[in-house]
Amino acid sequence: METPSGKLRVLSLPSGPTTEELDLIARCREGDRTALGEFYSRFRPDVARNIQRVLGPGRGDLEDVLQDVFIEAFRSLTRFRGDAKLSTWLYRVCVNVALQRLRKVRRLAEVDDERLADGVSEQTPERGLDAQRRVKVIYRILDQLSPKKRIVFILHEIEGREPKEIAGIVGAPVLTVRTRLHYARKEFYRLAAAEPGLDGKRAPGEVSA
Amino acid sequence: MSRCPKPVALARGDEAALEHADTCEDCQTALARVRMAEDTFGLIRDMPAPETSDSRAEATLRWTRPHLALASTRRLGFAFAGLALAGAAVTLFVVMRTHWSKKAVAPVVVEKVTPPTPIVVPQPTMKAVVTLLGGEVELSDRRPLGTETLLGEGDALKAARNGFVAAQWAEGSGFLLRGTAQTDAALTLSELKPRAQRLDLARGRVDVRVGGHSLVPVAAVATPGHLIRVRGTWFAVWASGLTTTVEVYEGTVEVSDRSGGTTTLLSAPSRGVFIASGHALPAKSRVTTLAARDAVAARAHSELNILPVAPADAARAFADQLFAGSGVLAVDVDGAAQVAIDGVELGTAPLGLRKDVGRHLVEVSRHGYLPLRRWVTIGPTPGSIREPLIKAPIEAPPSEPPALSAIEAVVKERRQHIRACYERSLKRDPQLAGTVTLQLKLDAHGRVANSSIDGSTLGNEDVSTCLRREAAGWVFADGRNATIVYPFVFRPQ
Repeated sequence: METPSGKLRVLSLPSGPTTEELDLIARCREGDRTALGEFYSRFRPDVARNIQRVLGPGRGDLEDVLQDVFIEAFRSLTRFRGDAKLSTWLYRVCVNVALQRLRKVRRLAEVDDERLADGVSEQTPERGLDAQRRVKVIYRILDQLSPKKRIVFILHEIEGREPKEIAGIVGAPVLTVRTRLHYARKEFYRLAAAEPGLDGKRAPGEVSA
Repeated sequence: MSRCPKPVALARGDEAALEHADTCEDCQTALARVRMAEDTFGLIRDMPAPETSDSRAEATLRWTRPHLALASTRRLGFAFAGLALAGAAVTLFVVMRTHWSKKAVAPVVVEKVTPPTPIVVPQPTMKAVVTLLGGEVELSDRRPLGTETLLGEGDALKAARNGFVAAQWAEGSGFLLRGTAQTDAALTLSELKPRAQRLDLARGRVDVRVGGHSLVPVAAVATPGHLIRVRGTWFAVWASGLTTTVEVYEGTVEVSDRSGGTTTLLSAPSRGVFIASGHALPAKSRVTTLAARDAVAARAHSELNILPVAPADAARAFADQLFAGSGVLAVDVDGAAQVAIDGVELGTAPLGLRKDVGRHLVEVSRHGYLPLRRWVTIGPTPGSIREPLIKAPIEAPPSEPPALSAIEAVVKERRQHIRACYERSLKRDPQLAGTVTLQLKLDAHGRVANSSIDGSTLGNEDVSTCLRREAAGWVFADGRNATIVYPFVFRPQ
């Protein structure tokens, strides 16, 4: 839908789960194997993508984190109050698990180039390599941010979410989110401006595959 | 020229900052990098969802159902408790009324209901194939043990010190039992069914890997003090009396006290030390996260020689499938040599192993000998490597020990840490005083390769251990291959 200003605007967001989702939740709570499988396969791509965005691509422990998210989600499904969309609620679980992971191990596995190549695509191999390198550099910078700052930065700068929405996801007041975001941006761009890996050419010492 | 703006101002598009950047070379570079970072955000946003394995999904669902069932049982429990309370209130009311009215009431007869006998469906048992064997290992019934042996339910294995045996019971699932330098290991395959496996570890160490195949909902290791349940994972368990140590390398395991105490979930990479309650002592546990470097080393040490299996053929038993796709190799060289296959260290020679059919690189290494590298083709007929190792040329003779001043310089630099070793024990024993003589053997680079206690009048093991640990990182630039003996005198100030 095009508005007179030429931009697509969403005037109201659907709040709360749909009837279909409510039915799925009810069946999951009963321990229905088919429903659990349905829940898993329905949300797995989204959850995997979210984890990848927060923790960075090419990590060896993605499957572990994914498993933790679903175990946590299934466990707390009984506490789901239905005041948010199921996907938003799951996103919250996802962010919390990722946050725990970041606190526990600041960087478990170094970014694996081969796995990274699967995730980042550009038209030519040369450009693809450059894109991979840039993504790697960005996550190297993000690794230097504290987990809390890192989460709000990714949610805002990369995913384009508003502070109010982020506050709901991370469970902190909006003002706190804004403060964290302010310091996260300041720190990130300071590090980015001093990062030679973000220059147009290949970083010194880097060996091509 | 005005001061350079902060990079965040460039990212914000602050006009004054951009204007400044037009004339400042440093800011132009910063601006280009900031823009490049912002471009990369788009790439990250558009990354497709990564591929994930179905086996993990299976494992997650498998463990979720009982959990949810437990939650609903709890809810049901609360409901019943409520009803029971209401019933009790009504009964009390009736009894009181009867008592007051003094009227005779017919006695209530409660019929005894026998609970129905649960129906037990017998499950077929599985066999485990021995895939790696070294040192002294014996089977409970004195059957000969080799890489052709099939292990079944009820079999007990004993690995002597430094002995090891690995076996595989399903695709991606197996165990490695090993005796350490200090103790032997004993394990019983109490249960080996497609839907439940249980290994009872009396002592020693067992490494377990449970594959993602859907037929295995429960695998467990029981030690004298604890029960370790598995969630699609890779872990190691040591048992020593009522103390159990668990290291998790992949996935999650659940450790519970067998006396019915607490349950702890351990997620990789972590280590938990659990002491079960006993001898009137309460249960204790300590869980730590493994540092990335330690986790990598621990995983390398926990190599189970799991063999790939051809796509399952339901008509054939797993053991037959494994036998069909693999062959055996015996590596019999001089003792104490480390054997690695395809770059993975498997244990100390002489050893026998099973590997998938094809070409494999065997590397044998022993300190002071030239390494032996051989490509072998493993096929239906058993292969073997029996070659003497050749002594390496004699290394440079030890140099003179470094000058006393050089030693003292290194010691002085680490004085705080050495003092900390002593002060920790001093808190417990305020009279602690004496001399600990440390012997340090240096390698060809002047690094401490080996440290030992040459003598101690302190009589405190903690201080000695702490000192040796501390000395492990020292480097003496001009003391290649030398041996240093240095006394440390400790007395309270």
